[in-house]
Amino acid sequence: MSVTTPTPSLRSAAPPEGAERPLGRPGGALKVGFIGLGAMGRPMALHLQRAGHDLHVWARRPESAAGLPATVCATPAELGRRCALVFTIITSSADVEAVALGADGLIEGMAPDSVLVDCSTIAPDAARHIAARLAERGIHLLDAPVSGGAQGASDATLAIMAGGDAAVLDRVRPLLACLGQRIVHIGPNGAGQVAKACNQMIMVAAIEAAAEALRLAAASGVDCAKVRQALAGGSAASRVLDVMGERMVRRDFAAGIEARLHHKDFGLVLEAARKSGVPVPLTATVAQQLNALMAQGWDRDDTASLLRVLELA
Amino acid sequence: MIFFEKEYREFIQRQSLGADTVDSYVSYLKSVSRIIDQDITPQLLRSERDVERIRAQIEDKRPAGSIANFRSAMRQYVAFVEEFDQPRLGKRGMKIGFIGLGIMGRPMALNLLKGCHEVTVWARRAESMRPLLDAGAKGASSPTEAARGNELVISMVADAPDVAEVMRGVASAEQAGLVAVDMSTIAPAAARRIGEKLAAAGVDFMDAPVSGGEVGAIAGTLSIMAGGTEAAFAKAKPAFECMGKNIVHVGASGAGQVAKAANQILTGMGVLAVAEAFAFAAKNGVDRSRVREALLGGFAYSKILENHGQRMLDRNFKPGFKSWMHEKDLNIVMQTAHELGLCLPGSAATAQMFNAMVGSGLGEEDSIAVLKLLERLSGQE
Repeated sequence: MSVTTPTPSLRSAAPPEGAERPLGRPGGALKVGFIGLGAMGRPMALHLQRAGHDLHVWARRPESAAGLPATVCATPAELGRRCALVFTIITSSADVEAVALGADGLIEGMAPDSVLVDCSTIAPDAARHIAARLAERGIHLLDAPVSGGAQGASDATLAIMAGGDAAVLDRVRPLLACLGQRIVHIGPNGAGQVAKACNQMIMVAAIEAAAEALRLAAASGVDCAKVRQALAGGSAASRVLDVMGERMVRRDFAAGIEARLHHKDFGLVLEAARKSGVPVPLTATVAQQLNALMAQGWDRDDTASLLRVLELA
Repeated sequence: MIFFEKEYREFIQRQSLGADTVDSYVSYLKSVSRIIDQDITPQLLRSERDVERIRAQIEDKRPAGSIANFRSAMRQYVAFVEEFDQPRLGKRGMKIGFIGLGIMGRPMALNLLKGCHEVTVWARRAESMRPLLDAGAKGASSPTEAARGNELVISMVADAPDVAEVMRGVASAEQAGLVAVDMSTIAPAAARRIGEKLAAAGVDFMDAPVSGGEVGAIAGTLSIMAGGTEAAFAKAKPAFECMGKNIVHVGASGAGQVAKAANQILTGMGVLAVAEAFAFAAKNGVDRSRVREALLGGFAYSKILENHGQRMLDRNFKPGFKSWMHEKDLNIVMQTAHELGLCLPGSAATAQMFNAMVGSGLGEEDSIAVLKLLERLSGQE
């Protein structure tokens, strides 16, 4: 499937410099590219489409795009030629690099002054590297990883932490507002990924803490559900205890977020800590529990499975 | 240093010279070595011409003792080289390329020369090659040239990208039947990848990291753990025997690096364990040296308690083995564990202590400086 209408050039319609050209004026339909139609990406893409934008997608496996009200492009480069704004949300640093910079990558299609918003969770260094390469062609990158999980993606309540040029962020803010409520400019490229790493450290450590507490409660012959209920009103209350704790109590380990993704993120966090020479003893310990989880073959289950790791011992 | 000092002594003794004469000849030769700042090797002293050349050098520097004595000592060495075990002194050695002449590589390459192999060296910094050229090695202008015409090529460099780079050069030498041995410490997965690439280029690659540090490298007493084919191991063994004592063919490609990573788990946690035991004793107001002494007789005895423990007591943090290198090696362990889905809580905690050492400026000190970090954390400074 292909669309023949010419792309209205955003650049020719706007002054060459400056931040006063919001890409997504309310009511202004845009051609928006989207790559990465997984558990997170699909609902995000649909929100953009429902906001009235002309959705273009590329998928490594064409069946991922099935049933989407979108124009399917043959390559990331073709998608880049058609769209002045492209979103990506894919798994690894290497995948993002391949899609952005590889053969038939976005870099070969995107016009100068167009914007790539990468919502993937990747290494801060990788984000900086991709930004530098794109900048050689005048293409802007925002590293804009998100937090909130599949639920947040479908409710459009994601927290978005952005790294890159503040003026560029302001241009795409109206579109990001279709995806989440809290959009924070953290700093230059890479800063969004640093914030996301911090988010993962706190969240997964909190999941481990919840698992350990509930395991202790159960082993002491105490009703876990009651403990969780009681704690929800006190100083230990947290969203993790609320959502993940509840899954643990119900022993519902079907994935909200697949544990393998947290495992991947912890690799990034530990690498970043190592590069900075910052000790992260708790994170390192939690990473070992995640390694054990992977060894059990629970990689596609929910990270609440950290409870099951404790039950192995 | 005098190469084959023991054999040289025996040679002089056989000429019915007194024990005093033997000692003084050896000490004259050692003075010569100091003055010219070179090791006395069979390659350095092969003929009367070499004797005269060196005599001319030392004359200016006025050594204590008569020039005639120095000359006699050197002539005896030449005679010894001529007579003693000719095959060992140059006729039977392998042609070996050696890449990387740092703290470890330099003494290892020297020991190959001492074992009478024909050694061609290459190092990124040309000045690192000087001591080896002085000792009789040939110099190469690239890793490719270090491999060309040789049966064996050995690398001892910093990290996996360096190994990959020099081995690319080695492969492009297109040297039929070449065995390439990397003795650096890198990730097992990286070693396997490099092995596969070299196999495609017809080079038999072996990973053979070492343990024993600079001291072991100089003394030729390294532990060598090798991974690769039987054929490569058989080929490299005579070279290994010049550099190490405990030489084990652990398994297939990558197995040597797995053994080395296991070694770093044990030594990393071992050093931390000794440091924690000492911090514990001190905080309780107990003399650490007495604790060490008591424990050396029991089940907690270890080489680390004995050697590293003593250095901790002496507060001698001079490397040895720099903590940033230990951190690098523990990172190999943790990355491998991450890839495999392997739970290593103790190694993870230890790796973070080493990470903190590097971050707080202790990276250039010996890994026993983890004691300083512990003391800082518990206010024991």
